Amino acid sequence: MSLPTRDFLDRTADHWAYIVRREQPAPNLAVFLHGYTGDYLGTWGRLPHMLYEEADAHPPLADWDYVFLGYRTGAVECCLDLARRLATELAKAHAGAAPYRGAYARFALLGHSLGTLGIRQLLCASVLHTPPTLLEQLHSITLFGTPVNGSPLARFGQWVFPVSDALRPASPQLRMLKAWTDSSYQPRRWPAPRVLLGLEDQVVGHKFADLVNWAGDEPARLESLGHSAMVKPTGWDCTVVDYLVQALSPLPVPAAR
Amino acid sequence: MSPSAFLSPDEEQARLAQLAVAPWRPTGPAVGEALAPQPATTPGLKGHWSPLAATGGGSAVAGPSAALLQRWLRPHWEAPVTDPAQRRFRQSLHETLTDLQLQELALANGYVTLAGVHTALYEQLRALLSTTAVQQYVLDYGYPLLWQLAQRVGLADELAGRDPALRPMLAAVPDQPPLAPGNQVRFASFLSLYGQWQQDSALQAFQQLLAEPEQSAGQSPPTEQALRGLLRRVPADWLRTLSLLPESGPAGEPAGPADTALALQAASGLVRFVEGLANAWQLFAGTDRTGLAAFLARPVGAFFGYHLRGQQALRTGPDWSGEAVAPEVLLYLTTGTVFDPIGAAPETPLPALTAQYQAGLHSLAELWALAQQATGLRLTEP
Repeated sequence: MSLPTRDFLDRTADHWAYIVRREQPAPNLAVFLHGYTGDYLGTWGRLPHMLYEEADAHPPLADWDYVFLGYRTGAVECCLDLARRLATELAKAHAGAAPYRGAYARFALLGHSLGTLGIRQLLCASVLHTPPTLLEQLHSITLFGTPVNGSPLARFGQWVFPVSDALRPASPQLRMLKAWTDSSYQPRRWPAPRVLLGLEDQVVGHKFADLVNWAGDEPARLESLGHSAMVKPTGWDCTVVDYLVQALSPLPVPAAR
Repeated sequence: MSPSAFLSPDEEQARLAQLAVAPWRPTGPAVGEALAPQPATTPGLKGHWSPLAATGGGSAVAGPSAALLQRWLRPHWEAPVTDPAQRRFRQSLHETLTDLQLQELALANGYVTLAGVHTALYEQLRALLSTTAVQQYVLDYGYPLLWQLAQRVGLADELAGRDPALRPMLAAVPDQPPLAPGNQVRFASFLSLYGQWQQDSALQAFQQLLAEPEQSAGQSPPTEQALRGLLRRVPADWLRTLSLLPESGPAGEPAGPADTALALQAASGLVRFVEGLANAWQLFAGTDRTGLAAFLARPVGAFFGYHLRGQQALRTGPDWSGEAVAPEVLLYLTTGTVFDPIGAAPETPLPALTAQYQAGLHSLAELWALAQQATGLRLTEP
């Protein structure tokens, strides 16, 4: 058995794990953020160990390092908390500050469920952009099971954490975030978020996508997947890997005049 | 392949430091002190007594006699444990032994190296298993990975030489499969799930039901009755309004508002239990899952109605896998949605959810079968 080509750094108490090329860090970093009551690695099923073991055999995944971010759901109160968590890591990764092993030039953001609202919040809260060129450094944005208009579950008793408010359909926090996004997108622009919804998703559903448009989003894509299953690969030939490869593929070169 | 080939000393130190503050680490003071070998001159800390003292390992520590310790750690099926202090101590010991099993799993998957933890683990395990009462507790309740850990840290020969009763367990330790570097990442994913479970109040409520009550063996706690009633019979109006039932229904139905509320939470925990364990099981697909199965033998056995008595799995509890979880409950707990009339909506996701739950049950059945095989458990009826 040959030595792995990547190192795996895991900080259980910090809800943080990093998969980095062993010889030389990749120039790009893919950042994963989980959803409500998820966890930094478990949410993504087999994906972390698949990337650790085989990313370098699957272009374009070889050109990226990976960080899985997490948080304790009870510790966040609103999407700004998530955005700040994300911004802090991006600032460190951009500067190559510890524990990152390199200074990253390009970022891909991938979120699941509530995590996607944290990403949306980061995009429009320019005060959190460190470096100020953050939006220009974003390669792609992929939102799995994003609550386009919250989740019907949020009104039930088992959703007990303060941040549940962000997930209530048409909640003030959600309305504010959407208006903020709409107004921020016009002057600033960011890569069009790729939105994946699940036909079997009983948590956030998919029908609101027909009614609610978020500024800049690509038209939502609909796959026959459930809320949790859509981010858990069953192997290399599966939907979540397809979306990951799309998210990390080189951007098309603009045609010469 | 040795884990040192893919795990740098710096990374290992960082992992160990993080694990030391992980949410599932034992917090009970009494056993925590017992784990740390104390010099003979060390006075008792905070007035707690120590198994080391009880066996003469720390003569300056004021502690109970070995006989008293044996009484505290007696099998609960011989005499119920009603004293709160005894129950706290037993719980602390259980957490400590579970943590040691988790550390064995970490070693077996290359998450940490033996060199990094050898001394601490050797001392802890030696201190514990040299205490007759603790040793008997381990034999009574079954912590299969401890024997594997004893062998790994080089304690097996000493234990086997001193106590013939331990030889069968130590001899049955399977050979370890070759280590694959990717298993450390699988284990890290499992740890992240495990940490999440420890903070999930619904899951904790359900696991409390799974645990065999030590204080009133043979009697179902009211919550269990309430939960079983709730799972079988699903009045739509309870769920829609989250209102609570009036007092004292017939047997098998919720007994009161508090029970109903707790049962509702535990029912949610049941669904998460199945989903979470199935996810953990899938994480290790394609690898040797013997160690994982051994680690989860106790909760998954309890899910199927069996409690461990050493190498016996005695059916003393309800079989939750066979419990008729009404699809409508499943729908409610998973989605928070109640159809009116229940299940009759044209686009009900009931079939998909039921299939998902059944797939989770199938994974748990696989896990339980391997757990029996891995630990040499014999299923017996009372």
